[in-house]
Amino acid sequence: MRAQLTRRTLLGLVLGLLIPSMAAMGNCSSYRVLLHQLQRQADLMQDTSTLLDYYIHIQGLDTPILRGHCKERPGAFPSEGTLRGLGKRGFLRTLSATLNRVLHRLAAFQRRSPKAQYSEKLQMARLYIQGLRNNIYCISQQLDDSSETAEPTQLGPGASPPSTPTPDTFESKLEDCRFLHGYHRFMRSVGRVFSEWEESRSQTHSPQQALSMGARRARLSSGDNRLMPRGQLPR
Amino acid sequence: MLMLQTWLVQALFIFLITGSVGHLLDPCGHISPESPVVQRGSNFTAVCVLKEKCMDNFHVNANYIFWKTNHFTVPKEQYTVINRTASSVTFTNIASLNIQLTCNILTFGQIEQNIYGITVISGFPPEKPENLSCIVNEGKKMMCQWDPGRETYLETNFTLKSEWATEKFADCKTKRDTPTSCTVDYSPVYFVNIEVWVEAENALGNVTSDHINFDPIDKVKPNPPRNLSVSNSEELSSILKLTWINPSIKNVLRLKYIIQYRTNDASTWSQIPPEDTASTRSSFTVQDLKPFTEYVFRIRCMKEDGKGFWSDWSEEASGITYEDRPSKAPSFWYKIDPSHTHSYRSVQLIWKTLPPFEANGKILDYEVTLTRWKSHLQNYTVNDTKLTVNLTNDRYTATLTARNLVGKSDVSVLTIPACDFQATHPVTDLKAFPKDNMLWVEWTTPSESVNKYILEWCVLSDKSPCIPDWQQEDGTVRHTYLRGNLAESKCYLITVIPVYANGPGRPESVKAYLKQAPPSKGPTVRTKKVGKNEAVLEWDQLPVDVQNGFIRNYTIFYRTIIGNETAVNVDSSHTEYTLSSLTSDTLYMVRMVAYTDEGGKDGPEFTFTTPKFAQGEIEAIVVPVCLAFLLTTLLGVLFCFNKRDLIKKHIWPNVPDPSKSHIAQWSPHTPPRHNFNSKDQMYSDGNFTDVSVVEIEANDKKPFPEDLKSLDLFKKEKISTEGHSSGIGGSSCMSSSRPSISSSDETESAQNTSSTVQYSTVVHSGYRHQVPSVQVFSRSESTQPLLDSEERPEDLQLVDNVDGSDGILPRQQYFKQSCSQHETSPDISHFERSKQVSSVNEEDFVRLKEQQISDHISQSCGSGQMKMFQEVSAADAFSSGIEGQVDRFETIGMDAAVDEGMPKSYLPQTVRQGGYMPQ
Repeated sequence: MRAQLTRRTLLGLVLGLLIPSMAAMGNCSSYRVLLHQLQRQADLMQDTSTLLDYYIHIQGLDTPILRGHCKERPGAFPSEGTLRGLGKRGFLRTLSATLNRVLHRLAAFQRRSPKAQYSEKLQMARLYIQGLRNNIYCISQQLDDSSETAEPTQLGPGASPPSTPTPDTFESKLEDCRFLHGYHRFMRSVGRVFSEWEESRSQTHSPQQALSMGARRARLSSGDNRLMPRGQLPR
Repeated sequence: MLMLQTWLVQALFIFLITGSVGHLLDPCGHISPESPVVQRGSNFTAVCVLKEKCMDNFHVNANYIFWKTNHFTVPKEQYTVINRTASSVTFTNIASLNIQLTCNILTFGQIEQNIYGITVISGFPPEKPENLSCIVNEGKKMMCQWDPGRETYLETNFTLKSEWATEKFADCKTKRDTPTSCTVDYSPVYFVNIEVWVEAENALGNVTSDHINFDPIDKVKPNPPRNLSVSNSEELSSILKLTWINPSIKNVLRLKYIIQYRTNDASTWSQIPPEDTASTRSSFTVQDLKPFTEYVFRIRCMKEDGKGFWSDWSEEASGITYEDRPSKAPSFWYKIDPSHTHSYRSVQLIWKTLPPFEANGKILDYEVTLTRWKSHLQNYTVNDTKLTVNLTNDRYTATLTARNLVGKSDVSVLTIPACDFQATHPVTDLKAFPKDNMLWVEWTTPSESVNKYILEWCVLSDKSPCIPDWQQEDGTVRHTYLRGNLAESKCYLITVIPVYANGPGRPESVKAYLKQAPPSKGPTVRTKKVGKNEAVLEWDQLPVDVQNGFIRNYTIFYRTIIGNETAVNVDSSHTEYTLSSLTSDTLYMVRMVAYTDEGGKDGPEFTFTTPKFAQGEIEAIVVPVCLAFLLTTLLGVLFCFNKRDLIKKHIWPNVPDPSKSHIAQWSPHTPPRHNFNSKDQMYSDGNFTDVSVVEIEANDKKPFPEDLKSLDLFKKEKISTEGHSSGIGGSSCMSSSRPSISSSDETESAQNTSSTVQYSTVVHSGYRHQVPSVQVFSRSESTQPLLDSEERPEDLQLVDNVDGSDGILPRQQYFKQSCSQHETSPDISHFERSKQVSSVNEEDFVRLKEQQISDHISQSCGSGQMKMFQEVSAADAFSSGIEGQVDRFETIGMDAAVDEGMPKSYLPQTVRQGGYMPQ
């Protein structure tokens, strides 16, 4: 019991560090609504038209060859398998941490953005990411980890810090393009995970049961991950 | 250097000025609080504190302080002197919005000086904002609005606050012109719950509304679908397919729709069942539409779960469904030209174009067939809606079909009967009435089976002929409305013709109005006959063009110039009316109002005057009067004729012809004609000279009964006195009623007959120096003056003697008979009281006298005269004390004296000795 309390405090502390000023402001929705909102947010953010397509267009990368080079750099974002292998809390922590990293990167984009319109898109994307993190905070508040076994934060290759942009401008554009590509892909994977949460919720009808199911899946995922060599993205 | 000096001088000047002004504006005290804002209805206390310096200068302290609000002194009861320098004032229940409060002192005990002033502002703290709601118009930022509560009368700021669980957004400050709404300056983030509330704040406090928490996606008002288009299908004439482009919010949320449609000429919309459009889509096929009909569509959308707001309606789009074969046979009827030849008749087949909802497309042409009884078929293809054919007098059967691009309609069949066909079996109980702005016709069906009904109608007008319109109804119909462009206030003649298998039935007609109105013109009334107390009014029926409805009744208004108006209602079937109980010889104004069900209209006013007399009334008066006059005249003439001898005797008496006289007749033995024995007794000398006749005009002032009494007295006297003659003033048949009396005073007679010319002569002496035993009176009415040579000097002398006698009123004649020849004294005993005698009585009197003469009744003059005198004397003696009578006599004497100056042209003619002198 004491261990559970310690873990909950630890999760709050971690998310509190990740999400600034998360002192009790506003009222969070119910778990069901939050799950739905998270899924819908992930669906929105995986849409490449919101960032990547416009970036490719304004950066002059809209050619098949260049598009071919605009692929996610392996390890830039956690793979879907990695995400599936995480427990809910781990998934939420990983998601929150990744989004925090994306926020910084988008802020850098926005500073360098030559077009005001794209700057608005970037601002909008950042706002949405902040909203997503708000929902992550809310849903984490409602997770009762009593049924969840302890698991370490996944800091595998998917969660590795992004490589520092090269000074070369073209390479920098490509790197940003790859980053955005990876971001959209990552959000698609997040959406799928959340849809599984949704499915499991409809079967169990309780966050606690969903949490335990997530833990079991996490264990299975860990098992699966073991099949894959670390540091490699799933193909 | 110079500039520097100049700058220094200026700076020094400004410094000094500023210092001195500051010193001058330094107040003698101040009020605390400086800028108070007080809640209305609460208490407020202000304190004025004086400076020691001013107190010393003006020799005042806090007791000298008095307060003013808006220049009115506050009662001392509200003051409180706190100490030597401070005084407070307290106001309870502040009600005014702004109060100018000043602290003042009386310097040197009498000079009022203002120390300090503040403005006290009052109002209310803000109320809790209610009904906070937010909307996110797609593509725009979130806007929230609320009810601010009551007026605060203070500057109140509203702040819209919003936050996530992990973020706090910037406050949204309301603008001055929109204090109840605010639009945040950040883009909405869907699928994240946000908490929103409003804070209201003014000088008296702040308050916060209830917090609302929502997902902005549930407050979205999407943009309407755009590029709505409509397309039809050749395979199905009852469907149209709609396509559109959804708003971009479709990427974020799922939509549902409302699709509405109407025909092009309709105003109300039909709606596709919402459950058919409850999911996101970009096209929809509308079914069950009418063929070849233009439909208009519009669409709107909202979030699928119903949260949020409906978008505005899209732009309308229209489309026409594909054609279908005509769904109904055209209405079919015929007309026969009445001026047909012996063996042929001109028949015009007419039909109605199908309405679009029955034509189901564009009608290309009509096919008509005509079949004579067991004869061959004649086909016609017509583009028009009529066909004129010459038919024999036999029975025909006509058919009609309409054709469009897709196919033909059903066949309309019409039987044109033979010439000798007798139409029977009409409809019964035919009625027509307006309802719901339509003219309805209903009837009772005949007993026979009816194929269809033909309704014909036309506008009845005096100006234009009846051009009928028509329509066809099924044989099962019992009532319908006229499907034409009917006008209000027009009289429609509606005819219903049942059509049987063997031909049309007998038509029945009825009149009706779609909507009645008051007549456009009132009836013009006129008089047909005007009587003394009644008048017969007549008018024409209003022409149908101005009736505007069924004339239900008339009202006749009539009045005199000063009298009240009287109204009489008259049935509409009448065209004349008799006004009775009118006043004769009066001007009457009459007007007439014709009423329909919707009101009346008055016609022009007509005036007439009733006559003073009724017809024949004048004749009824005049004729009898004339007849009476005529009768009277006739009677008079007859009377005169009967009494012609008497008249002749008086007017032109027979003068005895001396040549024919016989001495024997003048024998003294001849009985005297007049008996004046009494007179002889009275006047023993029997020496009568003459008698004058004086006519006396009736004195109006004298009471009539007395006159009558006098008359009676006089009559008695006359009857009893044969020697007196009247006849004066009664010489003619229509003599005047002026009374006359005889007098023996010849002097008076001489004076007064000059103007009236009536005088008489008493022949005292006998004829030709014969001394008659009786006095004979004769009379002359001649106005011819006597010749001077004919006048005797004695007469003139007598006239002179009158001077001393009693005067006589002009035009009054006194008959004064004196039995004494020397009667000159104005002794009252010598007077005869004048009596008024009517002419008739006088005639009677004369007649009596005649009779007396003829009867040779002899009486003494003296006795008769005496009798009269006795009576008169008695009367005089009885009334001698009456001053009035004496006065009267005096007046007469005065008048006589006046008459003396007049020429005496007419003098009584006196025949002294037995002669008669014609005048």
